[in-house]
Amino acid sequence: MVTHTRLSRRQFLKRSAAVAAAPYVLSSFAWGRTPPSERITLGIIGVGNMGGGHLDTLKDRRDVQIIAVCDVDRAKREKAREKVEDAYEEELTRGTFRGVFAYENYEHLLARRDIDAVVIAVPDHWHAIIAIAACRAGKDVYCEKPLSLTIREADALVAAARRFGRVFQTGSQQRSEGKFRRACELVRSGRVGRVHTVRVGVGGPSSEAYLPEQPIPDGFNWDLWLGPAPWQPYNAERCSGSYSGGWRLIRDYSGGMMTDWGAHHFDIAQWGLGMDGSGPVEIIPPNLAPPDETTGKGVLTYRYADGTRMIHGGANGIRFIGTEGWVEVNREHFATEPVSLAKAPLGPNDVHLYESPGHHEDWLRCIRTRRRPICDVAIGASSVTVCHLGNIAWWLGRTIHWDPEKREITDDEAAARWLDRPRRAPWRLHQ
Amino acid sequence: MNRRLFTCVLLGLAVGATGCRFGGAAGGPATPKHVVTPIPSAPLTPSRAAYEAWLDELLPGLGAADVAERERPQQDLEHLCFLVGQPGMEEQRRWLCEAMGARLGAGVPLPARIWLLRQLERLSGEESVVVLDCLLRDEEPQVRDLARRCLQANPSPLAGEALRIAFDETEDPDWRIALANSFGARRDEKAIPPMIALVYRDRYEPTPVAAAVVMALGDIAGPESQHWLSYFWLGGAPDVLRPAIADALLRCAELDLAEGHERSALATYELLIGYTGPEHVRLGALRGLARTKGHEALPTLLSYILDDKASDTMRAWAATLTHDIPGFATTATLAAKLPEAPDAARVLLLNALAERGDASALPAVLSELNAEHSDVRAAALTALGPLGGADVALTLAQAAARAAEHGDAAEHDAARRSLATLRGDGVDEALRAALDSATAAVRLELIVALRERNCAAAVPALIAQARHASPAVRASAFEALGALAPPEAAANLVALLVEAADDEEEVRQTAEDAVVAVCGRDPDEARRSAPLLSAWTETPPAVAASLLRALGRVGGPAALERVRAACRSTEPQMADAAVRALAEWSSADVLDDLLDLAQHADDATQRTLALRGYVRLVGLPSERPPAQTIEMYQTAMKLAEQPEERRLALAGLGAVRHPDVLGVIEGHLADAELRGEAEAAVVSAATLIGPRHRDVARTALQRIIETTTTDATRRRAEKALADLRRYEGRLTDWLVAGPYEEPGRDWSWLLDHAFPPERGTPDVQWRPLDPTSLNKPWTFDLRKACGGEQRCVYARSAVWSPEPREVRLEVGSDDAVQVWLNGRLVHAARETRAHTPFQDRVRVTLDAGWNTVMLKVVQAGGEWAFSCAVRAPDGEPPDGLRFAATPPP
Repeated sequence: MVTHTRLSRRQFLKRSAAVAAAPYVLSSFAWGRTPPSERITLGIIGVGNMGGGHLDTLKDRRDVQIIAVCDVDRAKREKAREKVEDAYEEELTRGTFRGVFAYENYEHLLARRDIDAVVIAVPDHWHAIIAIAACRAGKDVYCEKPLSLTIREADALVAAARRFGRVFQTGSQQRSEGKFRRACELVRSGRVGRVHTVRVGVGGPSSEAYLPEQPIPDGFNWDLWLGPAPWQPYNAERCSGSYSGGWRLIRDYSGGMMTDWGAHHFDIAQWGLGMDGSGPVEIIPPNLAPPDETTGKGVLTYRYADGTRMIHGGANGIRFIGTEGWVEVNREHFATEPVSLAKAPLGPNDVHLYESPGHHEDWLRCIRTRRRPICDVAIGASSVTVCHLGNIAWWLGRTIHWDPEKREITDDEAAARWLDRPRRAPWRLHQ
Repeated sequence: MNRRLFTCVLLGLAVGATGCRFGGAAGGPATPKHVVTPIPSAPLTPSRAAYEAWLDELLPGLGAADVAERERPQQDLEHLCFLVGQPGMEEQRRWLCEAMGARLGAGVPLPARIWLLRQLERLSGEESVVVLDCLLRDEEPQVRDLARRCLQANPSPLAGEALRIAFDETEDPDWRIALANSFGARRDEKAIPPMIALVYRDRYEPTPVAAAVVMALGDIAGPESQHWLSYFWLGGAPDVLRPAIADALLRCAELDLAEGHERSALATYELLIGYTGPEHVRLGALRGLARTKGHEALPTLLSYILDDKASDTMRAWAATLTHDIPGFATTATLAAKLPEAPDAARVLLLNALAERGDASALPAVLSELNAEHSDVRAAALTALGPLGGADVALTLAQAAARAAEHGDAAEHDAARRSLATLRGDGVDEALRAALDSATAAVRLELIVALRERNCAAAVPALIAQARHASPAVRASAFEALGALAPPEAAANLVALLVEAADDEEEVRQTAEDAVVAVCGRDPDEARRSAPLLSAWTETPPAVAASLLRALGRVGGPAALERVRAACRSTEPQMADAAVRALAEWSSADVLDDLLDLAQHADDATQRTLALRGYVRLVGLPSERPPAQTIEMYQTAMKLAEQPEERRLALAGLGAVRHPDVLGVIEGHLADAELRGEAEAAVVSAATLIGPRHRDVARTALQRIIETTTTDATRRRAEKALADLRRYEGRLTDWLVAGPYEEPGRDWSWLLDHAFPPERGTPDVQWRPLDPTSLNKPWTFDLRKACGGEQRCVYARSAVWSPEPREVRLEVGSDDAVQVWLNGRLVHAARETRAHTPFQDRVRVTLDAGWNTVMLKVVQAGGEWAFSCAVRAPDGEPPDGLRFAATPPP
């Protein structure tokens, strides 16, 4: 006989993390009343521009509790600590919260057993080392994009996350935005016919920086900021988090806009093409590519095994061009040809992609269910690989061939060395 | 190989190749002043000597004291290295590496040595080992470590030998750690004995070197690493090292598995699954067991899933791992466990079965629909979505109906979601076929499913359901028709609306909504009201009222004519409906009608309805001058017979974006009956005009803060005042010149090309740039203002400072941007990108007096926008600055 006796929602969730998964999500109302003892405890590593943004969002959630922050800049970490303690003022006053610890060195934060998960929002050259260390320490990870500085780092991150059963969200948050999902669903449901070309508008690669030495500001651990990167004298521009300058444009620390924005837009291109976990087979640099029909200039061109071309350049965003129309999307814009396609409903037999409830929300739910989040580490790895391959071809000025199965550059030993970079001692890539 | 023999081998190679000029660069030929050599000629040089000469020319620049002077020669060298690294240029690569190696002596300036070593990191082969080996003992730590990194990346086995000898020689723990890292990166099995020899004695001491060796063993993996790691593990390694050893063992097992040594991998995983330390090691071991044993691991995984004592994480992880074990047999095993599993485990099993998508689990999942626990039933219903097809459609609808009856939201949601996503042939047909014989509750669920599935073919069946005896079914059918029916079906729906005129309020309202939606779907606007007007023949008053309401919402000239005529009807019900339709009209076309009714209608209710409609329509966005809008609201205030309408008008005034409105609203602050609304309206209006009229808004807000007795209003005013403070420094007044474009040229060319404003040409036509966003007047949508692609504009504004002052200039742009301050280029963002307000930050120094800020904003395609602000260096709002599009004369 069917009865309707029920455990309380919280009790049941405690016993069974995947309850009410539908089939891949958890009822959100369940978290609205999570008691402090069941909150996910977080450490935020890197509290500059991006990390500060994560902190601002996460400190107001009732299902998590930030208990530690970390930054090599004393002023930033202290400001972050104060901000979190302000948010938890009531619990501090009641004595139910011991306060936020501010660390200079991420290793000390990771050594704390009472931290369940970490948000990593440091410059790119630190992503892999810290994220792998976090996996080894048994923490679940939200790592800012681009996932890595090299392709081998991306591989090592996937291995580490899998080895220790970690829930790992890559910070390519466009996957959690309905507009981008909708564009990919239309493309993958064949609404623009067979896709033959994808245009991806992001900036170019990073380059070497020639900057004079400046005095190191008080409270800033420059050696630790550099970490595995080659030693250079301090200059404020090197460690500036400016979204269009600073370390993002310097090759020792980043792949430039190719990886910074590429980790968003190439990521969506891969999603729309159904190429997660795979990638292109040939990458032709601008100096060797045939002239683009819109600009008349050679542009970085990727070729996939099925003949699909992916062209770099043009307006910021992604345009999927098929035999029967196109879909164009960026953060402010969604357009289709034919126009009616934009609002065309999808039926049950069309492709429906994973619908994330929000990038943080998805990660936190998956921490409880142990499922893979919308932008799992393997997805972040294959997307950033596309970006890095473009950079390698661009820098070297020659066409490279890529085996997406074996994840090797073929027939070019010097190009293959760009798959990774040796690191300054004592830092190492934990493979 | 001992040190001496190794050196002989290396020297033999090197002498054969270069004559070993290592260390001789400082005493080599006189280095000429750096001359930039055209790159293409370099790789074509036919000889080693040519490379050497070329490098000698480059060397002073590579190590120049002024960092800026290094750029060109360093980039030239790197470019050449890239070229000779390509396949087919092995000889040139070797010549260049030898030439670089010969210029790494201690007499060469450090920046040059570093740059040469960084090239060798990516290019060197066996020919470079001798040089790099020597540099492992260099006095300069940077050089030493770079040499290590070069050897780490060097494919020659001799590079490994060099590193091993350096390891043997050193006593420095930091250097040992660095070298151990390199052994790991090279996966150098020959390095295992020296590493073990070093740490064996201290294997129970958790030294940093021991930890580095353990990690290197994990990188190297293989049987020998595994042997030693297992030895350490079983021999009682200190707790602090155990996680690192466990990690290394897991990596050994991964390699074993990849190379087909399942038995060895299994032994490792079984060793670690019993680890009592941190749980993530056991998670890794469990995954390894699942990967190694495949289907045979299922009993282990199930033992965790079913174990009440295991942690939530472990049990959920075990369930997740079943996804990686393919096959019908796995599905069958999981399904067979369902009846005996505790409730929480059943949910995990059902989720796992859903994830597998294997329809053979369907019978077992269906049986769980009768489970005692509601969450189990919800999980089963959820699983039916990916597993089922047409054959479970009715079952799901029945379950949804049952859950609705019992008020179980989770089951209801699960059933509905599964119904909406059931795939395969015949699902829609099955849903439609079930309609006629289903109970009302089930029928309702079937209709919802057809709507959710966008089943346009169901429209005829839904029209039939709109006449069902159950009001809930009728309402649901109308809702689905509103979503699915094409404009061609509008006449049928209007007929249903006529029939529903006397129906229950909810049904009639849903029917009206459906008619409005379907009529509005007709691409020809003029035709949209036609089906409603066609039905207007000797219509009973109740029907006419319904049609009039719908006409009011569909709109259009023909509909308006009919509604106006109905307003004059002597039939009270019809006239009342017509006035209501006018009052709810969607466009301002009826403003005069409503004003007339508000002034002259005999019926007080109609006057009130008309006045409310008038106030609502005055508030719609329009091109009307703000002064006229203020006047219209004032008229409404005068006509209002009750305070409520005056309050509505006041609220409307609060949404007018013009500084004059503040005085009008403040005139009502003294009226006790209206004071609360008037205060709220002042705050709203001040918030709106604040970004452009900060002083006026600030004064009004401060007055409200001082005088209001309402806490909520004071808080809103304080927040608005704080926002005004935040807006300080955001530039809202600009002149613009352009757009400039060149046929065939793209954005990057446009960015580099100096157009007249950049050249300072006096005849540039500057014109004011109107704000494109009233809410954010510091953000300018240039696509609206200057349209098109592959073009650029210049925007100019001025900032006054009382004294020379350092400030933070913040600029946002889509796409590229350059910024000049007083004619000096201070910032450039060379990329195509989306606009984020104030995304770039650059410190600049303002002169005393007026300073000119000029932006060049380049458009590649898509959106085109910019924003700019001047802030204090710490990002706070600036004090004492003034802003204008042009400095006053």
